[in-house]
Amino acid sequence: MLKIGDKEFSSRLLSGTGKFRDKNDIKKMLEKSGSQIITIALRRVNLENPQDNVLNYIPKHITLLPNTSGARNADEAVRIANIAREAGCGDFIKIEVIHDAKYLMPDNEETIKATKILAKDGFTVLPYIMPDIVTCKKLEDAGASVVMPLGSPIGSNAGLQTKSILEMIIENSNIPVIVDAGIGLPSQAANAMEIGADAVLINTAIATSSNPALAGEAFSLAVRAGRIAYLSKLQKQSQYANASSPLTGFLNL
Amino acid sequence: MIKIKLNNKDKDIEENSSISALIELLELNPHSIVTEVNLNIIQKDKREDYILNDGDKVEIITFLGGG
Repeated sequence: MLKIGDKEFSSRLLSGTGKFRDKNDIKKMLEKSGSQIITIALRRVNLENPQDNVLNYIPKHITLLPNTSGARNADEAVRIANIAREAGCGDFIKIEVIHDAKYLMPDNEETIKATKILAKDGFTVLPYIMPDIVTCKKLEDAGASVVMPLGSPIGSNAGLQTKSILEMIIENSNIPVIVDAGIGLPSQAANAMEIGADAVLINTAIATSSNPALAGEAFSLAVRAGRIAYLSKLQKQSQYANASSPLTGFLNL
Repeated sequence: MIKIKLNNKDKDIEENSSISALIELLELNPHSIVTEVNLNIIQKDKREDYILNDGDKVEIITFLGGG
């Protein structure tokens, strides 16, 4: 079971609500993927053209993970988190502090600051970060419930470009490690789980596929396979062959 | 009339307007929004009684898709 804060989850696939062409697909995707946690964003209502509240499309048993996207510093992230909690979204909060529009890289320093404040205030904090061991330790000390290092830039589908650092983080972390952002293929999600990630968060790859429910199912199977592979402790890669059949008793003439 | 900042834009509204009245004026669904005045969240059941003052900063927020 994946334990985050005081909740336990059987699914290790976290999903997102961004970029769906048809919001009715969100529910179908949740059903097929088994994902139990989903991200949402807060925005000002567009008063000329009010949008549909995405909460209307998420079944009640799903754990909401509001993100602080749009926040450019810790204070803004804290404010968004408080609004989300007051609005009845629960205690989970994904801290996302970004002011780099090109690569959407998170600001680790401001994220640590926001984590300290929000964890103390009773939130279950899931900070989205640039993979860095020192940051992860500081977040742990600050009361983060998990760390969410990126695999590659948000929405890039570029996979685990930060793999060697992710491996170091996984080896040293005392709290769950969830690889967030950049995973574009089920094989990449499986790879993240094989190296010992506790979970992955996939939004773009699922939401922008032509069949989000089917894509969600594919990612769900990959996450399970990767997790089981990790638990089975597969052997390391070798430069040389290693015979699978006995090397004695050949039927030589 | 009084002048408020609504979602960071100037807006003139009638004096003694409540938040509920503002929501009605804007034709918004009161159940799918969060309201904040001067950075304080005003709970749904307090909107009817909350009278807006000149210069108030009002934010009307909703939940959208995001990752």
